[in-house]
Amino acid sequence: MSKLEFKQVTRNFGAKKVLRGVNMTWEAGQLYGLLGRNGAGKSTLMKIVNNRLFPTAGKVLLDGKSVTENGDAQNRIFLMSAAMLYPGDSRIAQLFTLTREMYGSFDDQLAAHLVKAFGLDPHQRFRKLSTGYRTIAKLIIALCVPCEFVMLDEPVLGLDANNREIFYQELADTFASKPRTFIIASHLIEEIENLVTHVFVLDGGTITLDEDVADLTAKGRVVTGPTALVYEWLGGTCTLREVPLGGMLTAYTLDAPLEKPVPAGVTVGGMDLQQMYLELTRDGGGADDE
Amino acid sequence: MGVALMTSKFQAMLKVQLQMMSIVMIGGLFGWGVLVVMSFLGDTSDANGWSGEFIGLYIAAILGYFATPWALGSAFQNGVSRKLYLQTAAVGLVACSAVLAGLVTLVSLIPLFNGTGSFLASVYHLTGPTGVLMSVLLRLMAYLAFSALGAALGFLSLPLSGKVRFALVFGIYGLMVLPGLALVLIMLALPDLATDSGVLQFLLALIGLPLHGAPQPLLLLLIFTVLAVGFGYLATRLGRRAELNDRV
Repeated sequence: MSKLEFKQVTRNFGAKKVLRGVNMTWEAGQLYGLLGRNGAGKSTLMKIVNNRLFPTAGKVLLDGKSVTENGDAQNRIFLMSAAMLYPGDSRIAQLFTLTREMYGSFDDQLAAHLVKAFGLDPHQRFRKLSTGYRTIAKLIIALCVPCEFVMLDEPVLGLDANNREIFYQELADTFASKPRTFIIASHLIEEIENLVTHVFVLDGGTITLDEDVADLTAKGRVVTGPTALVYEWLGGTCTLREVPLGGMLTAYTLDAPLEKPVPAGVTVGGMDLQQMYLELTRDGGGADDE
Repeated sequence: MGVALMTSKFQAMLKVQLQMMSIVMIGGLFGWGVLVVMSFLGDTSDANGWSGEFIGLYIAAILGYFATPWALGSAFQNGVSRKLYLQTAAVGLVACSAVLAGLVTLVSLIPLFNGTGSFLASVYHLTGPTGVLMSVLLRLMAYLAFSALGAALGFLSLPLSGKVRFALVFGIYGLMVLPGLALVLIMLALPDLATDSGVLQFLLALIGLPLHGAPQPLLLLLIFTVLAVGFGYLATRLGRRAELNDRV
Protein backbone atom coordinates (compact mmCIF):
# COMPACT_ATOMS: atom_id res chain seq x y z
CA MET A 1 0.00 0.00 0.00
CA SER A 2 1.21 3.47 -0.88
CA LYS A 3 2.12 5.94 1.82
CA LEU A 4 3.38 9.47 2.12
CA GLU A 5 5.95 10.01 4.81
CA PHE A 6 7.06 13.35 6.22
CA LYS A 7 10.57 13.33 7.61
CA GLN A 8 11.58 16.39 9.61
CA VAL A 9 9.95 18.72 7.07
CA THR A 10 11.02 22.27 7.77
CA ARG A 11 10.21 25.46 5.94
CA ASN A 12 11.37 28.97 6.67
CA PHE A 13 10.23 32.18 5.00
CA GLY A 14 13.18 34.46 5.70
CA ALA A 15 13.60 34.49 9.48
CA LYS A 16 10.07 33.12 10.00
CA LYS A 17 10.01 29.40 10.79
CA VAL A 18 6.63 28.12 9.63
CA LEU A 19 7.33 24.38 9.77
CA ARG A 20 9.77 23.05 12.35
CA GLY A 21 10.47 19.42 11.59
CA VAL A 22 7.10 17.88 10.74
CA ASN A 23 6.92 14.10 11.03
CA MET A 24 3.84 12.08 10.10
CA THR A 25 2.60 9.43 7.69
CA TRP A 26 -0.40 9.43 5.39
CA GLU A 27 -1.57 5.92 4.58
CA ALA A 28 -3.53 4.82 1.52
CA GLY A 29 -7.34 4.81 1.61
CA GLN A 30 -7.82 7.18 4.53
CA LEU A 31 -9.82 10.34 5.16
CA TYR A 32 -7.59 12.65 7.14
CA GLY A 33 -8.28 15.99 8.74
CA LEU A 34 -5.37 18.43 8.93
CA LEU A 35 -6.22 20.99 11.55
CA GLY A 36 -4.41 24.08 12.71
CA ARG A 37 -4.95 27.72 13.42
CA ASN A 38 -4.49 30.45 10.83
CA GLY A 39 -0.85 30.57 9.83
CA ALA A 40 -0.05 27.22 11.44
CA GLY A 41 1.53 26.02 8.18
CA LYS A 42 -1.15 23.69 6.77
CA SER A 43 -1.11 25.30 3.33
CA THR A 44 2.68 25.45 3.31
CA LEU A 45 2.86 21.76 4.14
CA MET A 46 0.46 20.83 1.35
CA LYS A 47 2.29 23.03 -1.14
CA ILE A 48 5.52 21.21 -0.28
CA VAL A 49 3.82 17.86 -0.93
CA ASN A 50 2.57 19.16 -4.29
CA ASN A 51 6.02 20.52 -5.25
CA ARG A 52 4.81 24.13 -5.30
CA LEU A 53 7.27 24.99 -2.54
CA PHE A 54 10.61 23.46 -1.62
CA PRO A 55 11.23 22.33 1.94
CA THR A 56 14.04 24.22 3.66
CA ALA A 57 15.04 20.90 5.22
CA GLY A 58 13.62 17.42 5.50
CA LYS A 59 11.78 15.32 2.94
CA VAL A 60 8.37 14.14 1.86
CA LEU A 61 8.57 10.59 0.52
CA LEU A 62 6.02 8.72 -1.57
CA ASP A 63 6.77 5.02 -1.29
CA GLY A 64 10.29 5.89 -0.23
CA LYS A 65 11.04 8.38 -3.02
CA SER A 66 11.14 12.14 -2.61
CA VAL A 67 8.14 13.93 -4.13
CA THR A 68 10.14 17.08 -4.82
CA GLU A 69 10.61 17.54 -8.59
CA ASN A 70 9.45 13.96 -9.04
CA GLY A 71 7.08 13.82 -12.02
CA ASP A 72 5.97 10.23 -11.36
CA ALA A 73 5.14 10.99 -7.74
CA GLN A 74 3.32 14.19 -8.64
CA ASN A 75 1.09 12.25 -11.06
CA ARG A 76 -0.27 10.49 -7.98
CA ILE A 77 -0.78 13.61 -5.84
CA PHE A 78 -3.31 16.40 -6.30
CA LEU A 79 -3.81 19.62 -4.37
CA MET A 80 -6.95 21.69 -4.55
CA SER A 81 -6.32 25.05 -2.92
CA ALA A 82 -7.69 28.57 -2.82
CA ALA A 83 -5.09 29.75 -5.36
CA MET A 84 -6.42 30.48 -8.83
CA LEU A 85 -3.89 28.63 -10.95
CA TYR A 86 -5.98 27.59 -13.92
CA PRO A 87 -5.96 29.76 -17.06
CA GLY A 88 -8.81 32.17 -16.30
CA ASP A 89 -10.11 32.28 -19.86
CA SER A 90 -10.56 28.52 -20.07
CA ARG A 91 -14.04 27.08 -19.91
CA ILE A 92 -14.78 24.54 -17.18
CA ALA A 93 -15.14 21.72 -19.72
CA GLN A 94 -11.71 22.67 -21.11
CA LEU A 95 -10.25 22.43 -17.61
CA PHE A 96 -11.65 18.91 -17.32
CA THR A 97 -9.94 18.07 -20.63
CA LEU A 98 -6.70 19.68 -19.49
CA THR A 99 -6.79 17.63 -16.27
CA ARG A 100 -7.38 14.45 -18.27
CA GLU A 101 -4.42 15.24 -20.52
CA MET A 102 -2.22 16.04 -17.53
CA TYR A 103 -3.11 13.02 -15.40
CA GLY A 104 -3.91 10.46 -18.08
CA SER A 105 -7.56 9.99 -17.15
CA PHE A 106 -10.52 11.75 -15.58
CA ASP A 107 -13.81 10.47 -14.19
CA ASP A 108 -16.12 12.04 -16.77
CA GLN A 109 -19.16 10.25 -15.44
CA LEU A 110 -18.66 11.60 -11.93
CA ALA A 111 -17.85 15.05 -13.31
CA ALA A 112 -21.11 15.12 -15.26
CA HIS A 113 -22.99 14.04 -12.14
CA LEU A 114 -21.29 16.68 -9.96
CA VAL A 115 -21.82 19.44 -12.52
CA LYS A 116 -25.52 18.67 -12.38
CA ALA A 117 -25.62 18.29 -8.59
CA PHE A 118 -23.96 21.66 -8.02
CA GLY A 119 -25.69 23.39 -10.93
CA LEU A 120 -22.41 24.46 -12.55
CA ASP A 121 -22.38 25.57 -16.19
CA PRO A 122 -19.44 23.69 -17.80
CA HIS A 123 -19.38 26.14 -20.70
CA GLN A 124 -18.73 29.09 -18.42
CA ARG A 125 -15.26 30.60 -18.33
CA PHE A 126 -13.39 29.98 -15.05
CA ARG A 127 -12.63 33.69 -14.54
CA LYS A 128 -16.30 34.63 -14.79
CA LEU A 129 -17.46 32.32 -12.01
CA SER A 130 -18.26 33.58 -8.51
CA THR A 131 -15.89 32.63 -5.68
CA GLY A 132 -18.20 29.80 -4.64
CA TYR A 133 -18.50 28.36 -8.12
CA ARG A 134 -14.76 28.59 -8.71
CA THR A 135 -14.39 26.47 -5.59
CA ILE A 136 -17.03 24.07 -6.91
CA ALA A 137 -15.22 23.76 -10.26
CA LYS A 138 -11.95 23.01 -8.46
CA LEU A 139 -13.68 20.52 -6.14
CA ILE A 140 -15.18 18.65 -9.09
CA ILE A 141 -11.72 18.36 -10.66
CA ALA A 142 -10.27 17.20 -7.34
CA LEU A 143 -12.89 14.48 -6.95
CA CYS A 144 -12.53 13.26 -10.54
CA VAL A 145 -8.73 13.26 -10.86
CA PRO A 146 -7.14 9.77 -10.80
CA CYS A 147 -4.73 10.48 -7.92
CA GLU A 148 -4.10 8.36 -4.87
CA PHE A 149 -3.55 11.32 -2.57
CA VAL A 150 -5.93 14.25 -2.90
CA MET A 151 -5.35 17.24 -0.65
CA LEU A 152 -8.21 19.67 -0.17
CA ASP A 153 -7.09 22.96 1.35
CA GLU A 154 -10.12 24.88 2.63
CA PRO A 155 -12.38 22.98 0.22
CA VAL A 156 -15.60 24.80 1.09
CA LEU A 157 -14.31 28.37 0.78
CA GLY A 158 -17.21 30.55 -0.39
CA LEU A 159 -19.70 27.67 -0.53
CA ASP A 160 -23.19 28.11 0.91
CA ALA A 161 -24.59 25.58 3.38
CA ASN A 162 -26.45 23.65 0.67
CA ASN A 163 -23.41 23.25 -1.54
CA ARG A 164 -21.27 22.31 1.45
CA GLU A 165 -23.77 19.58 2.25
CA ILE A 166 -23.65 18.32 -1.35
CA PHE A 167 -19.85 18.32 -1.30
CA TYR A 168 -19.56 16.35 1.95
CA GLN A 169 -22.07 13.79 0.69
CA GLU A 170 -20.37 13.44 -2.69
CA LEU A 171 -16.95 13.14 -1.05
CA ALA A 172 -18.23 10.36 1.20
CA ASP A 173 -19.84 8.60 -1.78
CA THR A 174 -16.79 8.75 -4.04
CA PHE A 175 -14.54 7.66 -1.18
CA ALA A 176 -16.79 4.66 -0.56
CA SER A 177 -16.94 3.66 -4.22
CA LYS A 178 -13.29 4.34 -5.01
CA PRO A 179 -11.16 4.53 -1.87
CA ARG A 180 -8.12 6.80 -2.03
CA THR A 181 -6.60 9.17 0.48
CA PHE A 182 -8.19 12.55 1.06
CA ILE A 183 -6.56 15.10 3.32
CA ILE A 184 -8.88 17.92 4.31
CA ALA A 185 -7.56 21.12 5.84
CA SER A 186 -10.51 23.08 7.14
CA HIS A 187 -11.48 25.42 9.93
CA LEU A 188 -15.05 24.11 9.85
CA ILE A 189 -14.21 21.25 12.19
CA GLU A 190 -17.80 20.48 13.16
CA GLU A 191 -18.61 19.86 9.52
CA ILE A 192 -15.78 17.43 8.85
CA GLU A 193 -15.87 15.68 12.22
CA ASN A 194 -18.10 12.90 10.97
CA LEU A 195 -16.22 12.62 7.70
CA VAL A 196 -12.59 12.18 8.70
CA THR A 197 -11.27 9.13 10.47
CA HIS A 198 -7.96 10.49 11.68
CA VAL A 199 -6.74 13.97 12.56
CA PHE A 200 -3.42 15.72 12.60
CA VAL A 201 -3.11 18.99 14.47
CA LEU A 202 -0.38 21.32 13.28
CA ASP A 203 0.58 23.82 15.93
CA GLY A 204 3.72 25.85 16.37
CA GLY A 205 5.19 24.33 13.23
CA THR A 206 4.99 20.73 14.41
CA ILE A 207 2.40 17.97 14.61
CA THR A 208 1.00 18.08 18.12
CA LEU A 209 -1.74 15.52 17.65
CA ASP A 210 -1.85 12.43 15.41
CA GLU A 211 -4.80 10.28 16.38
CA ASP A 212 -7.93 8.48 15.19
CA VAL A 213 -11.05 10.56 15.67
CA ALA A 214 -12.84 7.67 17.37
CA ASP A 215 -10.06 7.25 19.95
CA LEU A 216 -9.85 10.96 20.48
CA THR A 217 -13.53 11.55 21.07
CA ALA A 218 -13.61 8.51 23.35
CA LYS A 219 -10.83 10.05 25.46
CA GLY A 220 -11.90 13.68 25.56
CA ARG A 221 -13.85 14.60 28.66
CA VAL A 222 -15.23 17.79 30.21
CA VAL A 223 -15.39 17.49 33.98
CA THR A 224 -17.54 20.02 35.84
CA GLY A 225 -18.33 20.40 39.52
CA PRO A 226 -17.16 21.91 42.80
CA THR A 227 -13.45 22.67 42.50
CA ALA A 228 -12.32 20.43 45.35
CA LEU A 229 -14.36 17.45 44.15
CA VAL A 230 -13.17 17.81 40.56
CA TYR A 231 -9.51 17.93 41.69
CA GLU A 232 -10.07 14.98 43.99
CA TRP A 233 -11.64 12.89 41.24
CA LEU A 234 -9.02 13.83 38.64
CA GLY A 235 -6.32 12.98 41.17
CA GLY A 236 -3.51 14.83 39.44
CA THR A 237 -4.56 13.86 35.93
CA CYS A 238 -3.11 16.12 33.24
CA THR A 239 -5.68 18.64 31.98
CA LEU A 240 -5.77 20.66 28.78
CA ARG A 241 -7.44 23.62 30.48
CA GLU A 242 -9.19 24.50 33.70
CA VAL A 243 -11.89 27.18 33.89
CA PRO A 244 -12.82 28.25 37.44
CA LEU A 245 -16.11 30.03 38.00
CA GLY A 246 -16.94 30.90 41.59
CA GLY A 247 -16.47 27.70 43.54
CA MET A 248 -16.97 25.58 40.46
CA LEU A 249 -14.39 24.24 38.05
CA THR A 250 -14.60 22.98 34.48
CA ALA A 251 -11.63 20.85 33.45
CA TYR A 252 -10.87 19.59 29.95
CA THR A 253 -8.86 16.40 29.81
CA LEU A 254 -7.87 13.51 27.59
CA ASP A 255 -6.97 11.29 30.52
CA ALA A 256 -10.06 11.21 32.74
CA PRO A 257 -9.90 8.34 35.31
CA LEU A 258 -13.11 6.79 34.03
CA GLU A 259 -12.51 3.66 36.06
CA LYS A 260 -13.14 5.65 39.27
CA PRO A 261 -16.70 6.34 40.42
CA VAL A 262 -17.79 9.91 39.74
CA PRO A 263 -18.60 11.77 42.97
CA ALA A 264 -22.03 13.29 43.46
CA GLY A 265 -22.11 16.88 42.16
CA VAL A 266 -19.49 16.22 39.47
CA THR A 267 -20.54 15.68 35.87
CA VAL A 268 -18.39 14.11 33.19
CA GLY A 269 -19.35 14.86 29.62
CA GLY A 270 -17.88 14.12 26.21
CA MET A 271 -15.85 16.55 24.16
CA ASP A 272 -16.45 16.92 20.43
CA LEU A 273 -13.58 17.31 18.00
CA GLN A 274 -13.98 21.07 17.69
CA GLN A 275 -13.88 21.59 21.46
CA MET A 276 -10.89 19.31 21.77
CA TYR A 277 -9.08 21.11 18.97
CA LEU A 278 -9.79 24.46 20.63
CA GLU A 279 -8.32 23.25 23.90
CA LEU A 280 -5.29 21.74 22.19
CA THR A 281 -4.44 24.85 20.19
CA ARG A 282 -5.60 27.56 22.57
CA ASP A 283 -2.10 28.86 23.26
CA GLY A 284 -0.74 28.12 19.82
CA GLY A 285 -1.23 29.74 16.46
CA GLY A 286 1.36 30.63 13.94
CA ALA A 287 2.77 33.14 11.60
CA ASP A 288 0.94 33.92 8.40
CA ASP A 289 2.22 31.36 5.92
CA GLU A 290 0.55 32.73 2.82
CA MET B 1 2.24 3.84 -18.96
CA GLY B 2 4.64 6.25 -17.22
CA VAL B 3 6.32 7.32 -20.47
CA ALA B 4 2.95 7.71 -22.23
CA LEU B 5 1.69 9.85 -19.38
CA MET B 6 4.83 11.99 -19.41
CA THR B 7 4.44 12.48 -23.18
CA SER B 8 0.79 13.38 -22.70
CA LYS B 9 1.76 15.74 -19.88
CA PHE B 10 4.44 17.35 -22.05
CA GLN B 11 1.92 17.96 -24.82
CA ALA B 12 -0.70 19.29 -22.42
CA MET B 13 1.80 21.63 -20.76
CA LEU B 14 3.10 22.80 -24.13
CA LYS B 15 -0.47 23.60 -25.14
CA VAL B 16 -0.86 25.74 -22.00
CA GLN B 17 2.47 27.48 -22.69
CA LEU B 18 1.41 28.27 -26.27
CA GLN B 19 -1.98 29.45 -25.05
CA MET B 20 -0.25 31.98 -22.77
CA MET B 21 2.31 32.95 -25.40
CA SER B 22 -0.38 33.49 -28.03
CA ILE B 23 -1.84 36.29 -25.87
CA VAL B 24 1.48 38.15 -25.99
CA MET B 25 2.06 37.29 -29.66
CA ILE B 26 -1.36 38.58 -30.75
CA GLY B 27 -0.99 41.80 -28.74
CA GLY B 28 2.58 42.38 -29.89
CA LEU B 29 1.94 41.57 -33.53
CA PHE B 30 -0.99 43.98 -33.50
CA GLY B 31 1.47 46.78 -32.60
CA TRP B 32 3.88 45.56 -35.23
CA GLY B 33 1.02 45.40 -37.76
CA VAL B 34 0.20 49.06 -37.11
CA LEU B 35 3.80 49.89 -38.00
CA VAL B 36 3.57 47.87 -41.20
CA VAL B 37 0.36 49.66 -42.17
CA MET B 38 1.96 53.04 -41.42
CA SER B 39 4.81 52.06 -43.69
CA PHE B 40 2.33 51.07 -46.40
CA LEU B 41 0.69 54.49 -46.10
CA GLY B 42 3.94 56.21 -46.99
CA ASP B 43 6.00 56.59 -43.83
CA THR B 44 9.40 55.51 -45.05
CA SER B 45 11.55 56.94 -42.28
CA ASP B 46 14.49 54.98 -40.96
CA ALA B 47 12.71 54.94 -37.64
CA ASN B 48 10.35 52.36 -39.13
CA GLY B 49 13.24 50.07 -39.83
CA TRP B 50 14.50 50.44 -36.28
CA SER B 51 11.04 50.09 -34.76
CA GLY B 52 10.30 46.98 -36.79
CA GLU B 53 13.37 45.29 -35.34
CA PHE B 54 12.78 46.51 -31.81
CA ILE B 55 9.12 45.50 -31.70
CA GLY B 56 10.19 41.97 -32.59
CA LEU B 57 12.78 42.00 -29.80
CA TYR B 58 10.27 43.45 -27.37
CA ILE B 59 7.66 40.80 -28.15
CA ALA B 60 10.31 38.15 -27.58
CA ALA B 61 11.32 39.69 -24.24
CA ILE B 62 7.72 39.94 -23.05
CA LEU B 63 7.09 36.34 -24.14
CA GLY B 64 9.78 35.32 -21.71
CA TYR B 65 8.93 37.84 -19.00
CA PHE B 66 5.16 37.45 -18.75
CA ALA B 67 3.95 34.44 -20.70
CA THR B 68 6.50 31.99 -19.28
CA PRO B 69 5.78 32.63 -15.57
CA TRP B 70 2.03 32.75 -16.37
CA ALA B 71 2.13 29.08 -17.27
CA LEU B 72 3.83 28.25 -13.97
CA GLY B 73 0.44 28.27 -12.21
CA SER B 74 -0.93 25.56 -14.48
CA ALA B 75 2.26 23.56 -14.03
CA PHE B 76 1.94 23.67 -10.24
CA GLN B 77 -1.78 22.89 -10.34
CA ASN B 78 -1.25 19.83 -12.52
CA GLY B 79 1.78 18.29 -10.87
CA VAL B 80 4.18 19.25 -13.65
CA SER B 81 7.79 19.28 -12.53
CA ARG B 82 9.81 22.44 -13.06
CA LYS B 83 12.05 20.51 -15.43
CA LEU B 84 9.15 19.54 -17.71
CA TYR B 85 7.68 23.02 -17.40
CA LEU B 86 10.98 24.60 -18.50
CA GLN B 87 11.32 22.15 -21.40
CA THR B 88 7.89 23.12 -22.69
CA ALA B 89 8.66 26.81 -22.15
CA ALA B 90 11.82 26.42 -24.23
CA VAL B 91 9.93 24.67 -27.03
CA GLY B 92 7.24 27.35 -26.95
CA LEU B 93 9.76 30.19 -27.02
CA VAL B 94 11.68 28.61 -29.91
CA ALA B 95 8.41 28.14 -31.84
CA CYS B 96 7.26 31.73 -31.21
CA SER B 97 10.73 33.12 -32.03
CA ALA B 98 10.78 31.16 -35.30
CA VAL B 99 7.33 32.48 -36.26
CA LEU B 100 8.38 36.03 -35.37
CA ALA B 101 11.67 35.76 -37.26
CA GLY B 102 9.93 34.35 -40.31
CA LEU B 103 7.19 36.96 -40.27
CA VAL B 104 9.44 40.00 -39.77
CA THR B 105 11.86 38.80 -42.46
CA LEU B 106 9.02 37.99 -44.85
CA VAL B 107 7.44 41.44 -44.51
CA SER B 108 10.83 43.13 -44.84
CA LEU B 109 11.15 41.49 -48.27
CA ILE B 110 7.90 42.95 -49.59
CA PRO B 111 8.67 46.26 -51.32
CA LEU B 112 5.06 47.37 -50.84
CA PHE B 113 5.77 47.88 -47.16
CA ASN B 114 8.69 50.22 -47.80
CA GLY B 115 11.15 47.93 -46.23
CA THR B 116 9.65 47.80 -42.74
CA GLY B 117 11.90 45.65 -40.69
CA SER B 118 14.63 45.69 -43.32
CA PHE B 119 16.99 47.59 -41.05
CA LEU B 120 19.00 44.51 -40.23
CA ALA B 121 19.39 43.53 -43.89
CA SER B 122 20.46 46.99 -44.99
CA VAL B 123 22.98 47.59 -42.20
CA TYR B 124 24.62 44.20 -42.63
CA HIS B 125 24.25 44.11 -46.43
CA LEU B 126 22.21 40.92 -46.34
CA THR B 127 21.05 40.30 -49.89
CA GLY B 128 20.02 37.30 -51.93
CA PRO B 129 18.87 33.92 -50.59
CA THR B 130 21.91 33.67 -48.28
CA GLY B 131 21.17 37.12 -46.93
CA VAL B 132 17.54 36.21 -46.27
CA LEU B 133 18.62 33.04 -44.50
CA MET B 134 21.12 35.00 -42.42
CA SER B 135 18.40 37.57 -41.57
CA VAL B 136 16.11 34.82 -40.32
CA LEU B 137 18.92 33.21 -38.34
CA LEU B 138 20.03 36.51 -36.80
CA ARG B 139 16.48 37.39 -35.80
CA LEU B 140 15.80 33.90 -34.45
CA MET B 141 18.88 33.98 -32.23
CA ALA B 142 18.19 37.56 -31.17
CA TYR B 143 14.61 36.71 -30.22
CA LEU B 144 15.77 33.64 -28.36
CA ALA B 145 18.34 35.69 -26.47
CA PHE B 146 15.78 38.32 -25.51
CA SER B 147 13.06 35.82 -24.60
CA ALA B 148 15.57 33.98 -22.40
CA LEU B 149 16.57 37.30 -20.80
CA GLY B 150 12.88 38.08 -20.31
CA ALA B 151 12.26 34.68 -18.72
CA ALA B 152 15.25 35.11 -16.39
CA LEU B 153 13.99 38.55 -15.33
CA GLY B 154 10.50 37.09 -15.03
CA PHE B 155 11.60 34.41 -12.58
CA LEU B 156 13.88 36.82 -10.74
CA SER B 157 11.08 39.35 -10.25
CA LEU B 158 8.39 36.83 -9.25
CA PRO B 159 8.61 37.73 -5.55
CA LEU B 160 8.07 41.43 -6.37
CA SER B 161 4.65 43.07 -6.38
CA GLY B 162 2.49 43.08 -9.50
CA LYS B 163 2.96 46.83 -9.98
CA VAL B 164 6.73 46.56 -9.80
CA ARG B 165 6.67 43.66 -12.24
CA PHE B 166 4.56 45.67 -14.63
CA ALA B 167 6.87 48.69 -14.27
CA LEU B 168 9.77 46.40 -15.13
CA VAL B 169 8.21 45.89 -18.56
CA PHE B 170 9.30 49.42 -19.35
CA GLY B 171 12.66 48.63 -17.79
CA ILE B 172 13.08 45.75 -20.18
CA TYR B 173 12.19 48.00 -23.08
CA GLY B 174 14.68 50.57 -21.86
CA LEU B 175 17.31 47.91 -21.45
CA MET B 176 16.85 46.86 -25.07
CA VAL B 177 16.23 50.15 -26.80
CA LEU B 178 18.20 52.75 -24.93
CA PRO B 179 21.73 51.48 -25.67
CA GLY B 180 20.97 51.19 -29.38
CA LEU B 181 19.11 54.49 -29.44
CA ALA B 182 21.95 56.23 -27.60
CA LEU B 183 24.42 54.87 -30.13
CA VAL B 184 22.34 56.10 -33.07
CA LEU B 185 21.83 59.54 -31.54
CA ILE B 186 25.52 59.91 -30.80
CA MET B 187 26.43 58.90 -34.34
CA LEU B 188 23.84 61.28 -35.81
CA ALA B 189 24.89 64.20 -33.59
CA LEU B 190 28.61 63.60 -33.96
CA PRO B 191 29.18 62.01 -37.37
CA ASP B 192 32.96 62.27 -37.02
CA LEU B 193 32.99 60.60 -33.65
CA ALA B 194 33.10 57.14 -35.10
CA THR B 195 36.34 57.94 -36.88
CA ASP B 196 37.77 59.70 -33.82
CA SER B 197 36.56 57.52 -31.01
CA GLY B 198 38.40 54.28 -30.45
CA VAL B 199 35.71 53.12 -28.03
CA LEU B 200 32.91 53.61 -30.54
CA GLN B 201 34.93 51.90 -33.24
CA PHE B 202 35.51 49.03 -30.88
CA LEU B 203 31.80 48.79 -30.04
CA LEU B 204 30.79 48.82 -33.68
CA ALA B 205 33.42 46.27 -34.55
CA LEU B 206 32.17 44.13 -31.71
CA ILE B 207 28.80 43.73 -33.38
CA GLY B 208 30.35 43.11 -36.77
CA LEU B 209 30.21 46.68 -38.08
CA PRO B 210 33.82 47.74 -38.56
CA LEU B 211 34.29 51.31 -39.75
CA HIS B 212 36.50 50.39 -42.68
CA GLY B 213 35.55 47.00 -44.02
CA ALA B 214 32.64 44.77 -44.86
CA PRO B 215 30.09 44.12 -42.11
CA GLN B 216 30.43 40.75 -40.42
CA PRO B 217 26.93 39.41 -39.67
CA LEU B 218 28.47 36.15 -38.45
CA LEU B 219 29.98 38.08 -35.56
CA LEU B 220 26.52 39.37 -34.61
CA LEU B 221 25.11 35.87 -34.94
CA LEU B 222 27.80 34.59 -32.61
CA ILE B 223 26.98 37.33 -30.07
CA PHE B 224 23.26 36.48 -30.16
CA THR B 225 24.02 32.78 -29.87
CA VAL B 226 26.25 33.34 -26.83
CA LEU B 227 23.60 35.59 -25.28
CA ALA B 228 20.82 33.07 -26.01
CA VAL B 229 22.80 30.25 -24.41
CA GLY B 230 23.89 32.43 -21.46
CA PHE B 231 20.47 33.89 -20.71
CA GLY B 232 18.89 30.49 -21.37
CA TYR B 233 21.16 28.95 -18.75
CA LEU B 234 20.34 31.77 -16.31
CA ALA B 235 16.58 31.42 -16.91
CA THR B 236 16.81 27.66 -16.38
CA ARG B 237 18.74 28.11 -13.14
CA LEU B 238 16.18 30.58 -11.82
CA GLY B 239 13.20 28.60 -13.14
CA ARG B 240 14.37 25.44 -11.39
CA ARG B 241 14.06 27.30 -8.08
CA ALA B 242 10.73 29.02 -8.85
CA GLU B 243 8.05 28.62 -6.21
CA LEU B 244 4.36 29.38 -6.05
CA ASN B 245 3.47 32.84 -4.82
CA ASP B 246 0.74 35.42 -5.40
CA ARG B 247 2.34 36.51 -8.68
CA VAL B 248 2.06 33.07 -10.30
